[in-house]
Amino acid sequence: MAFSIRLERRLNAPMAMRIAVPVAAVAGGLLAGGVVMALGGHDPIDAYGSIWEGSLGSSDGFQSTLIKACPLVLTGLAVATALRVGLWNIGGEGQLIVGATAATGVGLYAASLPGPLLLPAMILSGCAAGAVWAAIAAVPRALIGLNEIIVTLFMNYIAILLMDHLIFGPWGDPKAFGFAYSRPLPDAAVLPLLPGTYVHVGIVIALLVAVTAWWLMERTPWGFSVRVSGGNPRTAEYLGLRISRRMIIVLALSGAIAGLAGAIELTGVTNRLQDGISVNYGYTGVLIAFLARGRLLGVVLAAFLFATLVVGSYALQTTGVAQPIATIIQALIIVFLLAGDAALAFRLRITRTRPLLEPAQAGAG
Amino acid sequence: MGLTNQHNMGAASDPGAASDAARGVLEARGITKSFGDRLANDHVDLTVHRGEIRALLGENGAGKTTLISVLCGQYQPDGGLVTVHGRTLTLGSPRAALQAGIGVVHQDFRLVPRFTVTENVVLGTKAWGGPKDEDTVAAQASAAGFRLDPRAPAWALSVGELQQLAILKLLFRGLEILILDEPTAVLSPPQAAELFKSMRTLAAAGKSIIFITHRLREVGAVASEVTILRQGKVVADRAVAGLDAQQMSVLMIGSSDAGGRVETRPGAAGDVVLRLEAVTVEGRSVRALDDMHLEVRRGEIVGVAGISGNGQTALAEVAAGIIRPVSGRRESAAAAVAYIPEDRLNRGLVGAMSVTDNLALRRYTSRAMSHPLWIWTDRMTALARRLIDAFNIPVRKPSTRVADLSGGGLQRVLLARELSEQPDLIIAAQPTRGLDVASAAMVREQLVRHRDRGAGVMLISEDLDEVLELSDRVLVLFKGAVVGEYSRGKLNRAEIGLRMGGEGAA
Amino acid sequence: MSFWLNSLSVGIVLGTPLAYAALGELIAERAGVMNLGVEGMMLMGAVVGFIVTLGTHNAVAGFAAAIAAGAALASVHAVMTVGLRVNQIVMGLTLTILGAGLSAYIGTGYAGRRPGAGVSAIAIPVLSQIPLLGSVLFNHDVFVYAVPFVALGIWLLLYRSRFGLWLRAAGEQPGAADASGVPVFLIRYLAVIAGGGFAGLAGAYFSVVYTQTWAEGMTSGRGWIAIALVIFGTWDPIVVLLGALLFGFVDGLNFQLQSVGVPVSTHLLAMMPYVFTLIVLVFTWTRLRHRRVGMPEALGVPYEREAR
Repeated sequence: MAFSIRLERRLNAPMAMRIAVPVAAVAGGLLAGGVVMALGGHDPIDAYGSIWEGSLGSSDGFQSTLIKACPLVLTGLAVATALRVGLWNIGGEGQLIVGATAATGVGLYAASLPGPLLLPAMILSGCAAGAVWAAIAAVPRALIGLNEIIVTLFMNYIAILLMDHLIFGPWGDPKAFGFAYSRPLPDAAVLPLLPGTYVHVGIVIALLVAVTAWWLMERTPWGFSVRVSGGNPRTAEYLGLRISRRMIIVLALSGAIAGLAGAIELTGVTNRLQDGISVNYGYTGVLIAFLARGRLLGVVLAAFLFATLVVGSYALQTTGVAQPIATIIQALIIVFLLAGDAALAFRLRITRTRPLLEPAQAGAG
Repeated sequence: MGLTNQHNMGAASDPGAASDAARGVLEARGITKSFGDRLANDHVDLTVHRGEIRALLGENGAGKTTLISVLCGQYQPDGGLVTVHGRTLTLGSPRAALQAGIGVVHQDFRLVPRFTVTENVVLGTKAWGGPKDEDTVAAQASAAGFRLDPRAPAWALSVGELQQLAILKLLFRGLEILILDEPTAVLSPPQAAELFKSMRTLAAAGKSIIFITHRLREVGAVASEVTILRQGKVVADRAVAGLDAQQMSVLMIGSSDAGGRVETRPGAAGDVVLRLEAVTVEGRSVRALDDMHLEVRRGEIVGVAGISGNGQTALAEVAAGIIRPVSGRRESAAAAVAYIPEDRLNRGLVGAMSVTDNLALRRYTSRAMSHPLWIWTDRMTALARRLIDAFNIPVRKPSTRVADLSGGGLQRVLLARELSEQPDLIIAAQPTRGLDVASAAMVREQLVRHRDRGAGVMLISEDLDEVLELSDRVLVLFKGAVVGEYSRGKLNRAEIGLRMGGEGAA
Repeated sequence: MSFWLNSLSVGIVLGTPLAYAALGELIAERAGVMNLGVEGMMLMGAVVGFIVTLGTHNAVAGFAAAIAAGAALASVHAVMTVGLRVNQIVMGLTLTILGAGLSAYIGTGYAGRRPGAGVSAIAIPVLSQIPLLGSVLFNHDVFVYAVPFVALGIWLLLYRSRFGLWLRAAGEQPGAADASGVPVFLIRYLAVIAGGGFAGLAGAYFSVVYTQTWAEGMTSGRGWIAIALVIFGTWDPIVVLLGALLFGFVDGLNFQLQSVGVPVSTHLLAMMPYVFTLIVLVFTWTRLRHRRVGMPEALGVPYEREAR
């Protein structure tokens, strides 16, 4: 007697289940992370305690968390924005880097600009560069349907190589002896800090971008039309909406947000263009947007959670747990989330099957 | 010759032939399959004998495609048993079905465009498609009377050739039970005649053929037995001899049933609000619409009867102004056109968005709902609530995602959105298909109400009773052209049924 | 002259792991599954290969463990994307991040150490004596020698065998394949897991053979390059191999030029293959659809039998 296990699509999943899944995924990820720690002979409670202390439980930690959350919020927003029109922007990494690169260029060559103009010029150039970078993927996608995943991926490599060329070459720091960073930027090219803290204003900018993106997509007629195009291109066509135009604009916007992240990291954190200005922020942004179920305001929460994990993990040295546990936990959360989504979409059906071609029991004919 | 032939096809050399003749090569009993709350197959029985060509007749939605999907292993039925040569078949496994000798030529062929003819033919067998296989395939093709180049890539083949390729696949594997799903839908009359010739040859060689169609003439042309399905049940299972087109069509479409109908007065037709002149629309291989002429006037319901696959979708889209015909003209005096597509979720709605948003799809840019920088969501919600009430949309909250609604719910949302604009022209394609009784009644009542209000309505429906009951004029659509026109007083159900199947005076 | 020969030699060595990883990804993609987790699988292969080699003083054991590690991670990808039909992009990215984190985690304390065993270069008699090219082409380790045969083997598998026909069918038209009796799910599982094994091997090559040490994130994006290589090589094993050698050559040129102090931008040079591929893609995309070579039609789309 054999059994066949098959997955059957559910018609719809109960609302309670849908809300439970992301919550359960986070819990599951944290739990599984604890298991990994325990397997290494460490005490997970102790470790999580340290993570908390290092991130939200202390003033220093909280400030570091805010700083770390900034690029994550922005790259998450970039992905979520593109999803509105039905596209996957996995080029956030490259868009961030060209954003930082463009801002560096302005900082190095327009250093003579008066102080209050230099910084905004750098930031805006970062947005513009990111937008252009994304548009290079958007136009072929909109016009001939060329897979945007392939193009944005390639643009990532090109962006990194472009930056490397510049920092090892014309923009290199002559004192660097082959280390991968550019000349230092002028003093005026530094983001101001929030008063009384050492948190740069980038996080405020990021939150403003989140609210603006939400307003644009959820509360304007244009944003409504974008969501229709992304939700069902056929229906959009029936209504006479021009999908290709929206694809290009929205993906460019998405790139601009990622480029902004780069400009902010440059002017707020590193103050030089360098290898490692992005620690997988672009790709993590995809995970964050996914955890947030594509919701623009939810991205802020998800980014914050991820930032908490990363910053908190720096405080783990005393417990003996290695810092990379943070990325492990982040990834595990998403794995559980994917599994949870599958549980929402399908139900398991186990049926007994009779073996192939055995003689019939009942009378035939 | 290197064939992967499992069963030798000469009747004289097959010891099982005698018992098969009595018992049937394939026997399906009690096949039952539902999708959600829709019962597609209701205890269906089917038997085919060696050398027999059996027609499987029925309208769309009658359950034919579901049945053959069960037989070929793609679907696992909820209940039922299938035996081949007396042995029980494992259901839900395409491999088991193939091993039992069952092969299907689907309407969409299921071939790999990038592969060559040979690679397509041998896919799934022990062969890999090399030169030796090419020779085998070439020989088999010409033996079957097909002109196929074994090295040609499938994407370069015409539709008729693709069909031959699909059939060749079944022959190569020596499958005995061949099921052809609406094969003539994509063929021209001479190509169809060639196909019938091939079918007769195959049957004479001992194959058993099940041939799905809704064209009555074809049944008599090639089949010796016929099984007729209606609404998931078998309503006839007998020899073709002695059965005329009239009787077949009555069985296929049923006689009028009682209950749940709407009271209607005849409409008073006004000016022409839609005119199609010599409209032609190309389809995949044959024309979807062929030099069609049609008019709809204000205050009348024009019912378009016909079995799906005769150009209904193209007609609806041209009439609604969504696609442009290749030749001919569409003229419309309508200021507002309402379109109720047959594929509700995929063409008319956005599943991921809420009921509120979907209801506002035509209005969200209006002054009342928004201004360029801000949508007044409370007004959208208020509108949604009004429409939910008026159309009895079964949701607890307007923010419910549309993808979670049932068929009836979806249709109510569509109607609420499209009809609340007071349109001059309404194109409704299969509006009551798959709906619960209450929703279907509401749809019909709405169409009549708007007709009385002075709108022109085109009702395209496979449900003949519905067409007959609601229409002021009935047109019959067959192979992309209007083959019959009847005004209200002169409706002749039997004759219309014949026309739907391609019969009757041309 | 020796500069160029040197570059060629380094290029071959650098191109080898790229080729293995890319060939593995090619197998998965031809079966219809996109695996963006290659970088993570390579890192896992690198760290596991290193640790096991160090612990057993046996490079063979190390490589075997690395292949297993890559395959294990890939099996998660397979179960989730083929079995549970989850989004292949998100899952792949997640595995890259998981692989990066996990490898860094278990690799702490091993940074900078030596493996204690290795894979030495084997000079092929006679051939390696050929003036000029001999030492460049015929004085490498066994993995370098094997890679063209592996590529050829994959080509033969894909185009001259039943299994290859089935695998390609699963990637082009899984519905047609399923209806023809091809075990689509099984094939996809095997292809993805094999791809992971290749990635693991490639990672171990980096740590055990090339750099002979472990460092966090040491593959520096080469897993991503492998994914690009599949596209650049139009999903054909031989072209992918050649592409890997090309990219390896450019990669090697980079280091060479830096150490010599020549101010030529190898980065701009390295950009060329990507830019070129993009341009070609744009021009051939609409025509690629039905041509013999090109993206498998069902790539990235989960298969469901009862989809209505």
